[in-house]
Amino acid sequence: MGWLRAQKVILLVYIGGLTLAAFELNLAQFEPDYLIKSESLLNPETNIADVSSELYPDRAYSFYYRALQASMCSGPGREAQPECQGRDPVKPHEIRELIEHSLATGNRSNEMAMYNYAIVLLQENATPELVDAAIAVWRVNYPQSKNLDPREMVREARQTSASGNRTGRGESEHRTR
Amino acid sequence: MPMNAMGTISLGFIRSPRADFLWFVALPPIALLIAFFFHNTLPYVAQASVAVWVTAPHHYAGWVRGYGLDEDWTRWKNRLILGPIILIPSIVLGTAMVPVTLGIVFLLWDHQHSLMQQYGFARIYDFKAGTDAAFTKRFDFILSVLLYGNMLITAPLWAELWIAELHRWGLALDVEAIRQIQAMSWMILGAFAVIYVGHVIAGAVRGDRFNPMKYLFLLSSYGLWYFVSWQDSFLLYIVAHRIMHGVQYILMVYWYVERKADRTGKTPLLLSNLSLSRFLLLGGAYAIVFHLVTGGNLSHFSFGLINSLQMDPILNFSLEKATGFYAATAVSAASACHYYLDSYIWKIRDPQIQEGL
Repeated sequence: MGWLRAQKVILLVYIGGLTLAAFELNLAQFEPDYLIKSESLLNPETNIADVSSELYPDRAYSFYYRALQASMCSGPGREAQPECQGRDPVKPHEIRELIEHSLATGNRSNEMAMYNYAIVLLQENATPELVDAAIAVWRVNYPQSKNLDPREMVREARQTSASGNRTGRGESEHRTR
Repeated sequence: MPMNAMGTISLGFIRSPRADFLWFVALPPIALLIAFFFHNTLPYVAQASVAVWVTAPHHYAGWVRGYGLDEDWTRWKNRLILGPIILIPSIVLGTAMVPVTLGIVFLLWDHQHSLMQQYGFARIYDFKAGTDAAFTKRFDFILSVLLYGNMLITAPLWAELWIAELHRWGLALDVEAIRQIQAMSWMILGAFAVIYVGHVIAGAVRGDRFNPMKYLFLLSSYGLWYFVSWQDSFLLYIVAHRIMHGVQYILMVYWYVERKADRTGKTPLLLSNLSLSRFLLLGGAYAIVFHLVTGGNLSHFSFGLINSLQMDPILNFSLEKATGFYAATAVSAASACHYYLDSYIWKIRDPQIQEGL
């Protein structure tokens, strides 16, 4: 008993950790990017974007989740997807405005908000000054980021999309994560 | 029973009135001001510098006590050896195979560790003031757990995290259910607060004494945590919390080993001439070595300075140039200080200097 009492914290950590590990090894949801997939963001019953927006409408992550949600339902053929039907159509510049709202909160803990802002600006053919400024903000805050330069990312996506169109396999350039 | 107001209060300090007010009551608001400075003026990467310069030295302080003090080493030798042997391979495996689990376990363990540190300091306040009445330990523990737990459940900064995790687990809750859980949490905390006040009043009637410093300390600590948890900035939390947690721990360890040295004459390894500056310098050296050995980036030493140089519209430096600029500045600064130092410490006409020649 004395031993158990002395080791209770470490035992709890290991019991809890091993239980979670068993789930992580066996459930697909434990992919690191699960939370930004359509199951999490567009589920009509309950999804993280709608729940966050209702609970905390003015917070950075709520705006960002809504931007991701909008990006999943915008672009050729996307509005017609079953999970997008029943949602308001995405307005022009809506994704950009939502990310701008997210960044305007001052919360800089979400690297992908900064990164995707640059991507959205590139997709909307914003001025080079705006794009450079957005990339500079991302780089200064996350200098060790392993993500491709957004310009490179959009260029690659456009090339893939163009070659896809040639072979009859259309693919959107949206790489919003 | 008549109550003597003075008789119910027993002041006790961990170090001294002045040190305690500075490090245990004023430090959290000071840490908040520093955190706001980070939030408003420094890039996000600057928070990594706080990890380098505060968190790593606070680990070092723990090593000094556990591995450096003869008494602790002898007493807990098995745990001090077996702990790393078990934990390090677990972390390696966890990082490789179950990174999400590792992240969750670490976040929860960090919270438990943080709450227990403040609870421990509260216990020290009772110990020092002789105010450790029956059940106080248990009441304080429950109060700490409920205060901290309520913060995790109700504060937006933490609710965003667990709501997202529940979605991952396929246990997503709707808005109404979340609001009910949060309201319940507040009610439980409120109910216990009433019970706690009742315990304090009943103790006072019995003639128990109380140390107001403990309550000031808890108010300041939880004030910091609650305040940052309602802000929309993880940076604010990281910086303010790390400063409070790290600095208080470093000082506590130093005072502990110093007191032990006074009483037993034994000092920790490498600290035979124990002084706060030597203790902190070794902590700084440990932080630098640890950061470099673990492949840490140079920019983490600089509070984002290197990266700010890249953003400057006039300088317009590349990362390489900014790193070079920083290194060159450090080398030149060291040289300049060396030149200046030599200009006044080698005056041969000075009798005091002659004594050393």
